Amino acid sequence: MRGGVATRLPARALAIAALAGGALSAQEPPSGPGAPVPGGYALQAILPRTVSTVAAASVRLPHGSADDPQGLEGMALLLAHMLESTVSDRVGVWGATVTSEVGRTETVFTLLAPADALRPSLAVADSVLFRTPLDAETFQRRRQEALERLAFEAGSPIREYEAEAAYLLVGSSSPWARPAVGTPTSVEGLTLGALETFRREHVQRDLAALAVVGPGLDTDAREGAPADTTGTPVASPDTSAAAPAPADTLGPPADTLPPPADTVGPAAAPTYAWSTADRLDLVRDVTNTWIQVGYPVPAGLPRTDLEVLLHALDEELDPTPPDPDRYSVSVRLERLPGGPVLLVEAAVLPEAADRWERRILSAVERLASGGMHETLFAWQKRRARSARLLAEAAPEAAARRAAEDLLREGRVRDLEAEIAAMDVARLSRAAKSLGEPRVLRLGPDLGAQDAGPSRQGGAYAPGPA
Amino acid sequence: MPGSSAVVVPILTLLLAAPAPAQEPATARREAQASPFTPDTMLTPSGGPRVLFLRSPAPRVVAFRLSVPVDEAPGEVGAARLLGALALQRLRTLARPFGAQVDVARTPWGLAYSVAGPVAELELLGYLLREAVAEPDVRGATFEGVRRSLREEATHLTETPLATLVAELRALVSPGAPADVDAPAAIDALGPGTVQEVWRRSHRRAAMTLVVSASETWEVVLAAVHGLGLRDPAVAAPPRPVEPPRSARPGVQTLRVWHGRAYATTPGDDPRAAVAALLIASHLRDSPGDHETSVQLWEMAGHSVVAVLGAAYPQAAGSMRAAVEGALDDTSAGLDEASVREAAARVRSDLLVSARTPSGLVAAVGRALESGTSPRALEGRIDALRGLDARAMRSFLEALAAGPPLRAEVRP
Repeated sequence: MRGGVATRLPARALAIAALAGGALSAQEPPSGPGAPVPGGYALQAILPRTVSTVAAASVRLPHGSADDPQGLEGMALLLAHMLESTVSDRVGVWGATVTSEVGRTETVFTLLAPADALRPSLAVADSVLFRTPLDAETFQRRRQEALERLAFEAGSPIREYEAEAAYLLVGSSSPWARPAVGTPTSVEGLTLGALETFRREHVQRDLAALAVVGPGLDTDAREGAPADTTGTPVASPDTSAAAPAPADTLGPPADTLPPPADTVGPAAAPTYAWSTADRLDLVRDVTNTWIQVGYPVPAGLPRTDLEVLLHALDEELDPTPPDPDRYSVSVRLERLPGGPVLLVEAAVLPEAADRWERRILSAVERLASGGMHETLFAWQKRRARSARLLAEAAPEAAARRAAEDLLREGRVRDLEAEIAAMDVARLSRAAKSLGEPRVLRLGPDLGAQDAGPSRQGGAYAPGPA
Repeated sequence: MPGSSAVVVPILTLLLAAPAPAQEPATARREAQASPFTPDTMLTPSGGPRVLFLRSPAPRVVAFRLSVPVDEAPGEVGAARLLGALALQRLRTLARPFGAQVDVARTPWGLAYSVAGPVAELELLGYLLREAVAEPDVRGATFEGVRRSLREEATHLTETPLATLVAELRALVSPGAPADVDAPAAIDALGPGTVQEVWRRSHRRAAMTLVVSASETWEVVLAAVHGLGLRDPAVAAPPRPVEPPRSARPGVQTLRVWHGRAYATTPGDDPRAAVAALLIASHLRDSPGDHETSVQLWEMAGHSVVAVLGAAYPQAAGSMRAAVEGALDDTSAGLDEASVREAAARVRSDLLVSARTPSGLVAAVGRALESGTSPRALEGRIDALRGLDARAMRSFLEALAAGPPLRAEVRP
């Protein structure tokens, strides 16, 4: 979008007004630059690509199912589904799609559009997410779908496992443990008015991070330059050569920078989500055993160190070819009210549950011991780099990660460089810094397992709205 | 390129001696062009392979797709797929330590080897590509294991009435064209010598086409992938006559009547065929009936094929046949602008989304080249979907319907 601010703002206003009014009969998006990338976000990054057939935008908001009002669980999820559905209906005519994900503390919308349709599609998404009143018919339809899904899943052991896994981490009374999908009663109780109120409180541009990845994006396309918005545009390290951003827009705000790696350790007096180990064994008549092992992570540990640790653990636990006794294994990070937690989850054959629990615990111990040979770790880093670069070759994955980086750290990481800078000592330090594990097992009683002391799980009982 | 200058210099010398790129210097073109499908540089070095460079949609990732035409004589059916499976097994083992993405696909024209990874691993990716097309190891347990696994897969895929119906329709569209699944008996008949012979005949540098998506300059990339395949002999050897295996189409037991109608169009990668398939599927979904119907889109050498397939118990077979046979006309009669535009937008979006990564881009351009379509024409066809309206779609459906009646049936 060439031209000054005075030219850009009316163009955007026009685009939004036209699109919000549902005047979307034309298949072809406007030719030329079209609507500018919307501004006003707390943080935003424009990551230009020289060529691409499609472009993507990801909006990440710092709210999730933990923000559902008590007794109205499922609200964040239903709202996200409604917004996704409305945006999809309006941008589908250009071949664009949108997806939503609702976590415990964050919600993400990711738009993927043919390159020439990104800007009008993003203008529609921006309008629907933040301004257009919610539609009563969409509300009824999506709520009915949610109720049908809940009825279908009633009594599912995976839902019980998920609930128990959350209680073990934060306790059954914590809002964090509220079921993201809600309960039949809570979803039945949701109203359009309640959703609008929730949206007004949580779905705000000035709380959100926006990352846009695609061709034809340059600094002029970025409405909301430092002078006229409250947002903080951030240029991508990997595209700065193609479209250098002004020096004063590079890098995160000083107060959002992560602490340097050498602050990790006892001297930094790290805080943890919990300080005591715990375990819970639940016997259920199911055909596999779920295992969750959660380790609290000290606040301030660099995310790249943690992500390399996750990759190393994943390789240890789920090599190729996979262990024949496992159905699935995943390693991920969760943000709990008290701090981040590294979670390992496995679904395994019941008779292999003891072995798998030991395997998970000893994998972390091995990595903490620092015994890995530098050469082996060098290969591991190469695989981690390949996996990241290949995944983020897809613009929607790149946009999604960039928005996550913005919201978490106020900057978009140059992952290739940060991974390259890792060494065995840092990996070991990251593993050593993990706190006491909490273990949950839910599976059948085989009679011969020695799983240590057991206690009853908590039960989530939503109160009145 | 640390450590490889001794190799690079002769290659670059060779390139400089070879015909110059057909276009201006790469640096100048990078400024001017914006289309991902338009090659940055095209080279045909003496002795091959033909090389097309595309700019990378992801600056730190490089992707290669090397296509090799493979002709199978009657007694060699299945050899291409077996060569591909052997190469894929070898590639996966070699790629695992550094996490490169590898794939081998049987296409209507031959084999396509794909390799992708970080630009920083360029030399290793080149090595993978050389290994992909290297002479296969046809001795010992690996060959037997791969052949057995292919045979099991083929048996599994050919024992259903739907697979039989599809095979019969494909044979009607293009008699002698490679089947989408090779007959288990043909795979059984393949010996190591036959497979090696097919490799020797087909994996020649001069016949190969390499599509590259990279942000590196073409000289650097080309140096990394030198030495692909076999150098061409003065005269290419014709396919060796081999005794064909006995036809062994398995008898299929079915409770329902399966009926199919195929409509072929040329050229082979016309995206309007995909729009037609979507519209017909949508029409069939909305039509009541005591039967099951589906629509498939096949890419065959020189043809795009829309196949309408149906199944019903004998008492409802008549209405099922009528639904299948009338699907094209009924769809055409019910067309409106909104449904055509929506289907065209979806097909255009699917094509663009599938080409959004370096691997997807080289796959799209590589397949187009194999089918005889230039990258520019591919882009033109995708663009043309934006203007597709009901009148044009109706004409297209009429042209499809005017083709020869290709139908097949599998009965209880």
